[in-house]
Amino acid sequence: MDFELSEEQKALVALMKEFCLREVDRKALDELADRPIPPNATKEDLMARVPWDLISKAHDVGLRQLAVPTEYGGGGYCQTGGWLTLTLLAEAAGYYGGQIGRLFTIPWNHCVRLVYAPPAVQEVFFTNFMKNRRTMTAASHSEPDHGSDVLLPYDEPGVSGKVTAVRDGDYWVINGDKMFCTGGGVSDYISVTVRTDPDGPISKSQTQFLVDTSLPGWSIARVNDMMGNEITSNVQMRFENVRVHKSMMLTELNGASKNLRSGLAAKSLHFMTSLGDCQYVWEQIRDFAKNRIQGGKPIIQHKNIGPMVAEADLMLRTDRLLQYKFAWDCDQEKPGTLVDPLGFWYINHYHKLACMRLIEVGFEVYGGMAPQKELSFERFVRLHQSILHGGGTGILNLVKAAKVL
Amino acid sequence: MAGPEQSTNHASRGEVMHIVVCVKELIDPELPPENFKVDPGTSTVAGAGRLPFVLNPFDEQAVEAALRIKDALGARVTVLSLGHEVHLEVLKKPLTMGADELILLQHETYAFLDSSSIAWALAKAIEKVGDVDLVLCGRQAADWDAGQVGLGVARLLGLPAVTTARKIDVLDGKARVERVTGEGYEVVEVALPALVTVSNELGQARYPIMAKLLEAARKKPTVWGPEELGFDLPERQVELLELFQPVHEGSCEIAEGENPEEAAVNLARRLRQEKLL
Repeated sequence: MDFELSEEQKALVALMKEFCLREVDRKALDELADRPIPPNATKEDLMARVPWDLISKAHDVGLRQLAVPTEYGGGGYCQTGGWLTLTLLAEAAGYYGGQIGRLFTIPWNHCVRLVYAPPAVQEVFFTNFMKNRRTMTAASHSEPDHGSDVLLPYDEPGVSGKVTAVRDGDYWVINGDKMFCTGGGVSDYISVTVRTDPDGPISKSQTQFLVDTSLPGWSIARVNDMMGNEITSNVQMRFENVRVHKSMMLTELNGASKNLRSGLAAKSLHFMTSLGDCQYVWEQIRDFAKNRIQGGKPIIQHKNIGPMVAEADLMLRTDRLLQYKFAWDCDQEKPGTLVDPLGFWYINHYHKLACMRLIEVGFEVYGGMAPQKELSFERFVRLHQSILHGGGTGILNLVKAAKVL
Repeated sequence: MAGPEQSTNHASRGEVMHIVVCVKELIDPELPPENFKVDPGTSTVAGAGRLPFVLNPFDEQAVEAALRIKDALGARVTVLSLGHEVHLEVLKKPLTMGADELILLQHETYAFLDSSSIAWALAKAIEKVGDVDLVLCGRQAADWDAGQVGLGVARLLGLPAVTTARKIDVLDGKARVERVTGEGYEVVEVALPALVTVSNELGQARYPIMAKLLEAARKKPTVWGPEELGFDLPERQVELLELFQPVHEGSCEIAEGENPEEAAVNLARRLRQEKLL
């Protein structure tokens, strides 16, 4: 088995490392994310939390637009063959740059998905993304009363999925509230999953549209203020008679579920950048355990601590192998093939397990230091517990996996 | 190569300059100390193949200096490097920054050379490249910190050398160099061709250009060995007797006293006893 990276991959990872070490202040990004969010925050309030200058520099260097097709001036790592490279870079960003990782993987994730969209949608989305550096990207699936229903899916006719789109001439009119949308408050365009067949089973009744957030009727209903907020924030959105042109339909009519399964698999990039962050935190925990002397020796030599630290390392290595293998599998698919999401469901579950175990180990090792704000571990705990629902909860993903075994 | 009295360089003829930059790769100097182990039996770094390698930071700045001249005046930049088992993605970095060509001096006999033999090989290569107006090197390598190769190359080629540059301008066939000194900097002028070593005060090197990064990954460098440079590689003049990591041991003796003043007196006495005061 050849695990050697290509020269191109090594050079790109080196570039990501260099960019993060030169430009990123991890603590400053954490402070930005922890800035209190006003109760009725507007888009302007949320935009002010994002380090757009840093994102612009990332664009200058070529990293922000890596997953944009080459015909739009991007790096082209959006088709089969680019997934492993993006995965490597996602980990490097998380390891060397902390929260900057998500500022990369969020747009990469959506660019990868939108490569399968109709040409008219690609033209609008990619052109805007390349021209406007002060925008993120976002996708929205869950609703206040329908979270897991949408992901499972729960197929009783007419239930689940209350945000609807109704045809009106050349337009589709969208109404309803969408729930947990990362980056929704700071994006020009959002991919939105809506019910287009009011009566059918949800798996055959959803369609995705690309929605321009400047359209009349779109608004932020509320900001989901988490225990550990991300820089991009997370919003609940309201659609009140938002008219979207039919050319902005991303999927076949009523055919979104198929895309949703594979599209969610692109979220694996988020888990990879999270893994990079976990690796960084694990190394800090390990180094603390090697230097802290109690009972006359470094605590890593004590029977309760050493094996725990090793176990956390094992889980992260396992997580890494799972994710790299999934990325490699995706790269073997023919261009245009929607990837099998089973690997992602397992990653979703396992990464969250590894993360939570790392948190437990950190609390054991750091003792009373763990919850203290001067230690970055505290923020790590809050942030990672706030994204446990990403792509569905861990166990939900095993429920989905079990259905296809 | 023409010496300083025969300034027949491109710059003075109004043609595109040719700059050669000598670079080397080394184990990442930012690596945490605990990741670095010395094999006492062979006096080499244990498991070096698994450690991350980077371009010598001072050499990266030499590349940046060359590219700034290229931006200002137009120049052709050739990068030279020497080694046995190398990391191509590291040595190609200058290409991704904007250099034009990479020539790799690669052979098993180039694995463990000292400064004098490295200087010999580089000088031979520069002679073979020919038509060179300016040679740039980093002021020293971040592993051995010897700072000898650049001056050795200049000596062998009969070139004037200026060290520790923080700024290099080229005008009318001369290089105007601001060089760092202990008190600040001084400005010297030297006729081309010349050799200049570059210091970190030059400032941060530019990022790779994405398009060039992807292009460089597909490019094969020119490779030269003894057949091109000659087989009379001089023997090492420096013998490495021992390579070791110094062991830092600490012990702490508390100066006692009934009160801070008494403790201070006791401390002073103790320091005097140890001949530290």
